[in-house]
Amino acid sequence: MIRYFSGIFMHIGRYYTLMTQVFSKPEKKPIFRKRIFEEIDKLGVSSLPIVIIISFFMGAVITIQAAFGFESPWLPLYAVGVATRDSVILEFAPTLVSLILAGKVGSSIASEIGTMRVSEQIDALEIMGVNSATHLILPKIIATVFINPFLIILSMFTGILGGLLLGILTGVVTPYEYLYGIQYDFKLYNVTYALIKTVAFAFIISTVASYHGYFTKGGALEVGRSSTTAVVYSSLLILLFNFILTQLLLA
Amino acid sequence: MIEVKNISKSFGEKQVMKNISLVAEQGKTTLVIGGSGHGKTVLMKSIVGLEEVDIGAVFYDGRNFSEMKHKQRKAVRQEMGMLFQGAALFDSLNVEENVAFPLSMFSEMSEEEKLERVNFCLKRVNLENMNTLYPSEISGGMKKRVGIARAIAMNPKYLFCDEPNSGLDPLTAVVIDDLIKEITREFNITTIVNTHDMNSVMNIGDKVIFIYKGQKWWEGSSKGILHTDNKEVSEFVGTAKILKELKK
Ligand SMILES: Nc1ncnc2c1ncn2[C@@H]1O[C@H](COP(=O)(O)OP(=O)(O)O)[C@@H](O)[C@H]1O
Ligand SMILES: [Mg+2]
Repeated sequence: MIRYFSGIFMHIGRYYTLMTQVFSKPEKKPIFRKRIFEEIDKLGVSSLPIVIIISFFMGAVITIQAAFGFESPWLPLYAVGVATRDSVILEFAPTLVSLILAGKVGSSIASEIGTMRVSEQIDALEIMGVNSATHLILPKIIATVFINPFLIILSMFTGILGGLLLGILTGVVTPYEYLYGIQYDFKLYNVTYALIKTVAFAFIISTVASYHGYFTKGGALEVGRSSTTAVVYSSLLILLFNFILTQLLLA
Repeated sequence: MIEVKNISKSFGEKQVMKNISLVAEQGKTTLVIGGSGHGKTVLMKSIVGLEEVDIGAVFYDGRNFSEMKHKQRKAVRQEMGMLFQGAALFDSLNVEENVAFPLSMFSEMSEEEKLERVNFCLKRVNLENMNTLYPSEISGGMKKRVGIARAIAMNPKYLFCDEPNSGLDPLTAVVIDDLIKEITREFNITTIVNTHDMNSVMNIGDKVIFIYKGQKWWEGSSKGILHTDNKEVSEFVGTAKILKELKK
């Protein structure tokens, strides 16, 4: 037990030290800018398909479930639209999609950096005098923090669209009621809240995954292990911070 | 000239380097030999500062590298080139971009000047017309040559090679050894090479240091190593000799 906790403190300390190295001035501006665009492409653009597909069906399922759950004469029919909108915006888009991204983006970051570590590419950077932490990790943090909010907004739209299309197709809602519900008592603050969460989660995903990759020791097997632990830890931290941020922002 | 003074290093309980001192001279190749796991890589990484030593110091032409702050170290690092055991080329960059990388990072060269320098270095290691290939598309021997080209791109004063010919066929191994030897003389570099290959010892060693269980066990010339009566050294040399005879 004591060992377990000292392990956690070791990780926190080492994570903190790494972050102080990450947030320092990059070597050359133009190269650094290029690195950021590479990462946006690799971590953001390539995630578009999975975000769209998942959000579409997620929205559809929420709508259908809401419609069956609300089969009470006292509830207005547009409540299904309201329920879908609020579930998607408040929770499913920011948290669920971030968890999916923790799996996809997190494992790719950890295995890329882990491979660079075990094949001595990080040493090669250091020997040239390049700050490897800044050069490799900072562009990934900037890219995810910048691009994830767009992915989540896209997720919100496709989720609501999925509910609309499949809701109509399965006959559980009518377009008029659904769209009325979507607009009914709409609070922009909920979107802000979701985006604040998204940014925090993006930071967790990119830094935790980078951390696990950067301190990989050994060979290919360990790279695989790092990428698994990166996904597990970033997912747990997302759930923890989801709770904390919800308390802070909504309560 | 690189001077290593009484360095020791432990990983946890385990001491992997005990009180090692050595001098590597300019324009010469200093070979560090020894069996696998005896501490050659840790020694080299400690000399270049990729590992911190527990005790002792490393001097680069009189400058105490071990005591330097991050910024000063970075300046000295730009005078170093290193060839890693697996070449450690950047997977995401092609051959040309790999060699150009340190130039883009640390020089103010224009694109044309960079390309000229890259092609000069690649030509020096006999690799031409491969600029656009990626590391995954070239052989182990070519990777090592690109690694050397990248290491010499910035005109280093100090060159480090960790097992430059491990994993290569004997002919390619000789080519790589010759390259290191020639480049060292040609550009008057201070070179340190780790190896467990006796052929390299005979071919390129101006000075040979034998590491045994983390300690400097023997030091001498590549001729002298054949006549020493040091038990561990002659065993190391002997096994290599027998293998050679068997191959014939
Ligand atoms: N980061 C490390 N942590 C713990 N032990 C290490 C580490 N690096 C090397 N060692 C140990 O140090 C010893 C020397 O390793 P190394 O220098 O790689 O040997 P060589 O290069 O001569 O084959 C080995 O026993 C190895 O297990
Ligand atoms: Mg080694």
